[in-house]
Parts: sequence; C-alpha cells; structure tokens
Amino acid sequence: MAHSQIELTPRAAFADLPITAPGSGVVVQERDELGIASVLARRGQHEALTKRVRERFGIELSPGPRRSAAGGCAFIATGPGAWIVTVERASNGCVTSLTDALGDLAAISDQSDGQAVLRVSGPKAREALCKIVPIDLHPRIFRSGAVAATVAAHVGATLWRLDDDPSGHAVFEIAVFRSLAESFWRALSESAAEFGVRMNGRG
Amino acid sequence: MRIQCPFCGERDSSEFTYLGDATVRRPDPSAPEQYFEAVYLRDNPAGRHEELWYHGFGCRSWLRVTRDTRTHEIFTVEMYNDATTETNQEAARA
Amino acid sequence: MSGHRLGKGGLIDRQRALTFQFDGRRFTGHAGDTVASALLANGVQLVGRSFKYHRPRGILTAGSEEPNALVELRTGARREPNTRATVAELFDGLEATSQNRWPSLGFDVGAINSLLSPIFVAGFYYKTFMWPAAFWEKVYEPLIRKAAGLGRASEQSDPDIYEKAHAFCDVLVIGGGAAGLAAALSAARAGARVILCDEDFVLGGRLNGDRREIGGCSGVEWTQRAAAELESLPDVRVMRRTTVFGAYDGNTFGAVERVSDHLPTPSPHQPRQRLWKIVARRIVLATGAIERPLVFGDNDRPGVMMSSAARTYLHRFGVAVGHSPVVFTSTDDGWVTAFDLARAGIAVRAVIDTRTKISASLLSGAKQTGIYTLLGAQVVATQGSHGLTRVTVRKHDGGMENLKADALCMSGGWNPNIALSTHLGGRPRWSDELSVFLPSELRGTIVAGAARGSFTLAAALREGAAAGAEAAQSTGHDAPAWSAPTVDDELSGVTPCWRIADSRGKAFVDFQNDVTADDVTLAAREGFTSVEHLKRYTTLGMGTDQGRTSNVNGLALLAAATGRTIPEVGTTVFRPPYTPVSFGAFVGHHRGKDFRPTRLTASHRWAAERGATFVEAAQWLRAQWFAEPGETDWLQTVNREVKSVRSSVGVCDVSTLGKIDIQGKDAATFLDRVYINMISTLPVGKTRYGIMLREDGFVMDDGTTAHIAPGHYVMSTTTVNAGKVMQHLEHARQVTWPELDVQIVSITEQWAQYSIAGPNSRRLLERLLGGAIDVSNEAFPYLACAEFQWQSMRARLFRVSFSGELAFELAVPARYGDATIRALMTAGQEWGVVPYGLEALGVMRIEKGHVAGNELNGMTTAADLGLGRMMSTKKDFIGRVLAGRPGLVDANRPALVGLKPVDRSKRLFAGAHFLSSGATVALNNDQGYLTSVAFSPMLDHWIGLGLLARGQARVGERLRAYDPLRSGEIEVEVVSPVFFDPEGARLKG
Ligand SMILES: [Zn+2]
Repeated sequence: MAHSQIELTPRAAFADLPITAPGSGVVVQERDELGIASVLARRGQHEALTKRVRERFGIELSPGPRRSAAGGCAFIATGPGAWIVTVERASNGCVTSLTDALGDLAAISDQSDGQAVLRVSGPKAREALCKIVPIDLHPRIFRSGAVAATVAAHVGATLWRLDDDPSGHAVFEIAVFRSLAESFWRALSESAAEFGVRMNGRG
Repeated sequence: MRIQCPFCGERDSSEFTYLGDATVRRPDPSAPEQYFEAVYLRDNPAGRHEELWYHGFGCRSWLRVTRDTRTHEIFTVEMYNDATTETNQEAARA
Repeated sequence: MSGHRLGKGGLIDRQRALTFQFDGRRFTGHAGDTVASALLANGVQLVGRSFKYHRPRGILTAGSEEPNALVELRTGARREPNTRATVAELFDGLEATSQNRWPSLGFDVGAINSLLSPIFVAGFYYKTFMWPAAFWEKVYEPLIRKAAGLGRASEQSDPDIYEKAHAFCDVLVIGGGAAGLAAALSAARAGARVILCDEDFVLGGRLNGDRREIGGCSGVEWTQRAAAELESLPDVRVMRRTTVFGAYDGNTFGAVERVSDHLPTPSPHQPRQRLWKIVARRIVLATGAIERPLVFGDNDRPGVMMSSAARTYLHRFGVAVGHSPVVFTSTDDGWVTAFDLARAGIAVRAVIDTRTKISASLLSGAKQTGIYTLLGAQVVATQGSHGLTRVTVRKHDGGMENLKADALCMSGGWNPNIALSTHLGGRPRWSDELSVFLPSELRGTIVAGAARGSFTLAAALREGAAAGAEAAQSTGHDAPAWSAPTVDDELSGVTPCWRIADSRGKAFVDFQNDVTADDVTLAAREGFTSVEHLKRYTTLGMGTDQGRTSNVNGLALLAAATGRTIPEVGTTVFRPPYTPVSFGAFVGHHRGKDFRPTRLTASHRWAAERGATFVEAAQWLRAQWFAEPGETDWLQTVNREVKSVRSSVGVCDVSTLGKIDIQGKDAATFLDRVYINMISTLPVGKTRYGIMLREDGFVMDDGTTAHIAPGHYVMSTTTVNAGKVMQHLEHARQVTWPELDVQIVSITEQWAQYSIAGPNSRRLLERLLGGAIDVSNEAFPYLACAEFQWQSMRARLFRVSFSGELAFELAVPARYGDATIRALMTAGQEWGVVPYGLEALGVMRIEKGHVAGNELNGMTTAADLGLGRMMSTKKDFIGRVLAGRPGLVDANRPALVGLKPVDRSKRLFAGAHFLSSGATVALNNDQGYLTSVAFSPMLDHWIGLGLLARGQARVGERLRAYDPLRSGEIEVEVVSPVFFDPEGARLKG
C-alpha cells in the first residue's frame, strides 16, 4: 500500500476563542505566525553574545527587562542572560537561523508553539490588563520596550510593551504557555468585557 | 510582602518560592558527616536572616534576600549567582 | 409618627423618589439615601433584634461601624445577610428584611432569652452547655443556632461576577474626609500619583454631616471642589465606595470597590465588586474617628443613637431622628448636635451633660436656644416598648426626672479609627490627655486628622495638607507650599464617662454581641482580667464590627473593675478585614471551571470529540479513557483499551510530561550530578531512564533523558513534578554548581507528544511517516532517539515504553498536535488503532511493575523501589550521601513487591495495609501497604503493587491486606512486581 501522505494543518493556540462582549475598548490580535525561540547565553559568553547580536541583527541588548528590536526581530529579556526572541512571520523556521548565528554563544530552543502570544491594544488595554497582571503599567513606569516576566491570573506570562499605535494608545503583547491559552483567554476577555473586545486578524 | 528582584524590579512575594537559609552550602561529598547538618539543621532566628528565594514566576533567578523575620522588612536582595557579569575565563585566557 | 424628612437640606436628590420594602412594607426614599436614612425618614426606628437577647434594636450610627442595624438585602440568589443599613445605598425596588427575629420583628419569641438572661451572662456557652459532650452536637448547638445568630446566606449560586485588579501609586490616601482630601490635594498638586479611597459613596466624611465653613464656602461645596480638582488630574484616582480593608507587608493594601452594590443588578459585564490590591510608596491614613456610646441602662432602645449620627441624618439626609430628642453628653460635641437640631426647628427636649462645668459659650448657646440644660446629670434608664418614649434622668442633686423623648443622642467622645494601623502589628498607645488610643509610628505611613487624635477641622486640614506634601516629597515630588484653608476652631472638650453608675436595666457595651457592663465586671470577678481573655470570655468586640464602638468602653470598664489604668489593661488589635468582605470579591474570576487555570493538550479538542472522559493531573486535563458506544462501565472500556494495545496498537497523549532542554558544555556533568545513574556515557541518539533524589536521599522524580544532539539533552519528568524539577535544576545550576556551563529551559509546551504502543506500532508509524525516518529495529532500536524532518516540520522520535510494548513517542511542534493525532488514527485504521487514556496506561504500568506517583511519594528510596543498583558508585550526585545513611539502607524498609489476591475473584483496594497471618490488628504489626492496584485484563484478575517490609525477600509469602473501610480483609500473595512479560521481550521487538 502506498504511503498515505496526510496533509498536516497547523492549529493556532488561540483559534476559535469566543468573544462574549463585542466592542472596541480592547483590541486583541493573535500572533500565531511569530517565530519564537528561547536564547540562553552560555556561561561567560554574555558580552560576546551582546556583540554578536549587534553585528548580526543590528540589535543593541540593553541590560534589564527590556525588549530590543530591529528588522522584524526582537530580543525580549526575561532573565539574566535569558531572552525570548521573536521573529515576524518566521514560525518554527527561526530556530535554524538563530542557531546558525548564535549557537556557539547561546543555547537556542524553539518555543514558537510553546508560547501563545496575544497583542492587546485599544483605548482600554491598560484597564483590562491591570485586572490580571500585578505590574505597574503606568505609561511613565512601563514604557515602550519594557518587559515583565510575571504571573497573569495565576498563569505564568511574559508581557512587553511595543510602540504606541497611530492613535496614541499603548500596545502590549503577552505570552503564555500554549496549554493555558484558553484559561488565560477567559480571564482576559472577562476583564476586558466591560470595555468591549474586538479581535483583529492574525499576524 | 514585596521583593525587589535585581533583574525584574519590585514584585509581590507570591511570584517567589522560599527555600530558607542561604548560607548553607552543599558539603564536600568526602565529608558525609556534614550532610545531616546541611540538610536538616536550621537556625530559626528572630531578626535578620539571609535566605534563598526563587523568582519562579519571573526571571527564574535564585536570590539571596536579607529579611527581618519579625517585621518582614527586607534589607538587601541580590542574585545568588550573577551569570551576566561572569567572564569567560577560557576566553580571557585565550 | 411621620414626617421625619425635613423640608430642605441634605445631599439627597429630592426629585428622584425611590420605592423600597422593609419587611414587606413599602416605603419611599430618595436617591442619596442609605437604607437607614430612608427608614428613619419614614419614622421606622425598630430595625432588628439583638444577637443573644433578641432585644429590639434601632439604628445606632450613620457609618460602617454600625453594630445594630444589620439587615438582609435583596432576595433569592442575591440575598445578602448582615448588611449594614447605615451604609447600604438605596436603589429603586430595594428589598430589605430584618434579621434574627421570629415570627416577626414586633413580636419575637426569642425575646424570652431576655427573661432568661441570668443564664446568658458572660461565658454562658462555657457554663451552660458543658455536659454531656454528645449533647453539644445534637441538642445545644442546633438550639443556640436557632435562637441566636445573624442573617441567612443565600443557598443559591451567586449570579454576579467579581473581579480583581492591581493599582500602584506614590501616595495612597485612605479616607476622603477633610484630612484625606487635603492630603490628596497637596500630594496631587505636587505631581505625585495619588489614589484616594473612601468607603462612602460621597466624599467628605464628617463635612457632610456637619455644618462647617472652609475658606468662605460650605464644607460640602469645598468637598465638591476638591473632588473635581482631583478627578481632573491624570495621575489621581478617586475611588468612592471603596473600603481599604487590610494593610499587608510591603505597603500593600487590600481594598474592595462596591461597583454595583448600589444598583438593583449590575449592568452587563459590570462586576458586582472589584477587589483591589494597591501597592503604595507612601500612605496617608486619614480614617477619622468613631464616636463612642455612653454606657447606661437600656442604652440599646431604638431611638438611642450616636450624637454625630443624628447630625449626619440631619445635614446629609435631611432627616430628623426625632421630633422631641434629648442629648446626653460628656463632650462639647454633643452640644453641637443639640444646637444644630434646634436650628433646624426641632424641639430639643433637653441636654443632659455629665459634666458639672461647661464652657461659657455652650451655656450662652443653651440660653439663646432655650434648651433645657441639666449639668452633672445622667440618664439612668429609658422606656418604650419598640422605641424610646421616655428617659429617666438623675440630676446633679440626686433627684430623678422623667423626660418625654423620642430620640436620645449620646456623645461619649471620639476614638481615633486606628484599625488599619494595627494590621501589621502596630500597638496603639494610650493618650492620657485625650483619653484615647493613638496609632503607633508606622513605616511609610503618615496619620493625619482625627485618626491621630486631632479632632478639630482646622487640624484635619492642616495635618492632611502637611501629610500629603511630605508623602509626595519623599516619593520625589517637590511639593509647593500649600497652606490649608483656615477655619475656626470648634470646642472639643471631653470628660470621659465610662459608665453611668447605678443605672437600671442592661447597660450595653457591645451592642452587636449583647455584652453588658455587668458581663465585663463579672468576667473580671471570675479572673478574666487579661484583655484577651475578657474578649474571648464575653465575646466583646468579636462581632462583624470588631467592636468599633465597644472596645474602648470595655477596656475602661475592665480597668475600673480591676483597679488598673487603661494602658495597664492594654488593648486588643484589629486584623483584616476592616469591614466584612464577600467571598466573591476574594475569589474574583477564579470560580467554577476557572477556580484554577486548566492546561489543555493539543489533542484535547480531538479527544473531546471522541467522547473522552477527562481527569485532572496537576493543572492538566488528561483523557482518562475513551468509551465506545455500548460500553456501560469504565472498567470495560479500560480493559478493551489495554487489550487493543497489547494485541495491536494504541495511541496515548503524553504531552503533559515535563520536558526540559539541557544544553551547554557541562550538560553531561550536570546530569550526572542530578541523576543517580550515569548519563555522561549516553551516546548521541540514545535515551536512558534516570532517577533523581532530593539531597535527603529520597527519590524526587524519574524520567528519561535523550541525547538528541551533541551536548544537547532532553529530560522528561513526571507530569506532576515538572515545575518542581525545573526549580530543583535551577537551584543546582545557579546555587550549587554555578561554575558549570549549562543552560536549561522548559520545552514542555513546545511539543505535542504521542506514545504509539503495541505490536503494530512500527507498522503504523511507517504508514504515517512515509519514510521520513527509518523506524526498523536495526535503524531505530529500543531507546533510540532522533530529530528528523517530517513534512514541513522538525519532529522527534523516541523509542521508549511505559506499557512494556514495542512503543515509540512521536513529538511534533504543538501547533501540529491536533492534526497529528488525527493522522495517527487514520494511519492506524488498518490495525484497529485505539486511543487509550491515563487509566489504561496505569493498568499497563502496574502489569509491568513500573513505579509512578503512588510509589514516588517522597518517602521511598531507589532501593525501596527495586532500583538501588542504578545508583552509581563512580560519581557524586545529589542525595548520594544521605541515601547511604543507616535508616535508608535498613533491610527492613518497605520495598516494592507485586501482590495478587489468593482468591483471584477478589478485588484489591489501594491503601490496604499488610498484616502477617495471625497478627493482631495493631499499628506495630503493620508491614506496609498497597500503593497501586488495577484489574489486569491480561491476567484476568486484580493485581497490585505495594511497599512491604523486606518485600523483595518475601516473594511467595501470604499476607492479609487489611482495609476495614472497604474490602475488610483479603488474603494476598507476594509476587514479583513484574506481572506481565517479565523478560521484556515485547518492547524490544
Ligand atoms: Zn526576577
């Protein structure tokens, strides 16, 4: 019998999640196509890694919990010598290129499927997020590029702030473990319900 | 209680796990008689205490926290081992 | 009597009439009313029965300290007991019911308790219901519960939503009265981030209940301007209806915002209440003061209330608490009530002042208003069945006078509201000068106004402004000088009067818990002279009001009864919550299926479509079994799944097992140190089973580690211990051996992983993978592992087996998990592939004698589990030293064995204890217990694993498995723990 070549269709972490309170206070967008990898500096290679990232990616890694980005690639610092690297529209492919560039200085592991990322924006994003994230999101404190590895509604989460959208509203992205996507979504959508929620297409 | 994580900033203690005395070292395996003390015997000071906290819901760092056990006042928090400041000795030698 | 609502005045909206019901009677109030003010406006004085004696009770206060006027609000699922009528905001259609009365408020059978009061004295629970013990549960407790107690909780599920939120600020101001507003204004003007919380629905505190002027405008106008300014600032959050109920370490405060309590039902998606966790850098405590009652005979009669409350009802709600009130005071402040009432046209019957000398201005005021004044006099009794009609006054000369009165306003002085200052252990200190307890110094906290004993408005404004400026400055905001508006100082003289001597009737100290002055003296006489003992013996201050109106009076009485001063007696401190907080607020979103987060595997949707039954494993939901149509019993289903796997092929989702990526130059060394066995000898492309110990020598977890690429390992852990192992490894890496070059990260969530087990598993995989990887026994033998390209993804394959069958674990990026499980089922159709759940997996591992959570229970060693030989002697590892201590290598330790019922038709139960035949049932004859049991479809009878003393040497022996709760006693035979395929031929096929 011939090999059955079954076409495997990927399924997004936040697929088919219900919007219970439609509106425009909070806008969410699933970031399923983001390539994600964890990058852990090898012992004693922190400086060398910083230099290499500058050379190869044009990204200046600043100390502390910061997101540094250029050309669709972002280094999100989650701990000392630890980053989540996101690459736009790269999906699982990003690991190979990261390993080629940095593999001698850092341990690279694919997390494109392990992390489920939502972009949260809209005029009431901050008010909705403050119900689940124990982080001070004041615009002067949690500035553009700020990162927080923390806990959101009892779920481990990494939150970062991007540049404001054209209407001047803050834009956040939040990553949780994939298996927790549904639980997390219920907490977030309930928190955002009083403001109304709109789902943007994937990106 | 709030703990000032050197990496993450000030966070609620619920993000951390407590492990106790930070001055305890794993004894040399050639001195087995020290293991009982290292594993089981703990002082319970009323006052300043140097202790280990793990920022599990954060940067995953083990921290050395000096805390007053009576008031929960925290005096210092530092990385138990700061990986970012280590130099690669082999690279340095080369 | 009717017409208690005055023609004008008050912060109520007279254009908006609201109808409401109390005990089934319909009334009308206004927007801005509380239930209490609306009842008083309608002439209702009697609102409840007391806790113990069922005495008629009225409204004592106008605030959250109210001990008496507790009502049930709303009906059905929203019914809420013990709601203070004095803070419950009126809404249209509100239904309130009095509590603790039967059959009606006016005629209450339980009032007979009052006649039996000699047995209801202090400590009556202890004295009366002592013997026999069995009577407590069957007779006494039901009796007491029926006779006493407060409101009834709704037994239906709460239909409303609750939520939690986090807030951060430079300066948290607690209390929105004059001092709090001044503090918030001065901190905000300096540029600080300010949060102002006030429990009331209108800011202003006493400014709404008094007639004061600030800087040329009324106190109410000043409040409104201050609020408007604060609300115009972007970094200020003004939170009305928000009670800060607890102070916690690290300048963290709990607060509950009653978002929709003032509405008949919350609007869609609006929570009923919101629980705030507020973190502040500095705190201004401006919580004001609470007026204390006077302790005299029958001081609990409806119509007797706090003097300041009468003023609040007058000024804020436009309500006269009586048409013919008397004022009974030991303070200057009581006179303010008398004058304000008189100015509103109410005929104040008399002012009875316990002091013989009062200031000239009060005397001239009394003369001007023509109020009948009795100095050096006391109220010693009151009359009236359900409401006050008359008071008896003992005059200075000892003569008695009866006065007709429908309300009595009592003023015993003010106690600073220090509750929050004591939540973190701050001890109040007594001020002889003020006869009050003052808050102690607190880190990061400034106390301002009446809360620190500064009882005048001028002081409140001045201290509030200074506190706000100081708080702002110390958080880096340079406050411009802001001088508080000037106001005239009022008289604030007090001569404390703790108890009216020789008064008739019961003189209540704690109104909510029905504790009288005599109870306090009796307790002292019986030796309960410590304040903590007094509290527990009499229940003084142990009600839902935490004794806000009673504690200081109680202490003073105890001091008098024991011949000590108040500071010698000491004081009790408060603990959170300041006022009751509903469970819903604490729970928030986390109820029902959201009680805690649930982790779902990539195959969950598919499994649910297949009708799987799920079971919780840590936070995960795992398929327990997949029942087929016609199967009526789970055991039937599980037996079919096991037989299908053992005879052909089955698929099980094992994604929930922890997976940890371990890389770095020293990764192998690191693994050697955390596992008892050698990992550094593991070649690339191979997998090895490993065991890790805690440093105390006991087994912590087990799992396999795959050497997937040079220097790159993937460790698997048990589902339940995944997080703990990660923490353990991080500890080893960062704390114990920081010199090692090793990087670890969890990749559990990245991979969906399926076990394909059974003699046809290879054929299925060949069909599915279509040559993407050679899975022949030669190319991919037992314990092989590889990463390979499959279609557009990198997948991983491991040849490991928990079932004992020829088996593989296929790992794919989780987004392909759903598609892959469906593809596995399609590919396996020819061999009748079945999905199998956790239960079948459990049966198969017991048949194979593999240990799992029941055996890895934190009390077993590797040797106990029959795995002692895995312990390498060539290296050090965590737990090695203490695993070798005498207690852990004792030959008598319980060790893993297999058990079969001698009568093969008998069922085994996990938890049954082993006894030798003939031994009596006693703890010291205990030989161990059954840890895991299963019905083995392969052997067609029940089998079990157990930990048995010297187990390995006792194969063949017969024992009793003793289980008095379920099976009684079953004779079992000790066998090898490997019941099925002991040579392991199947998995190497
Ligand atoms: Zn941290």
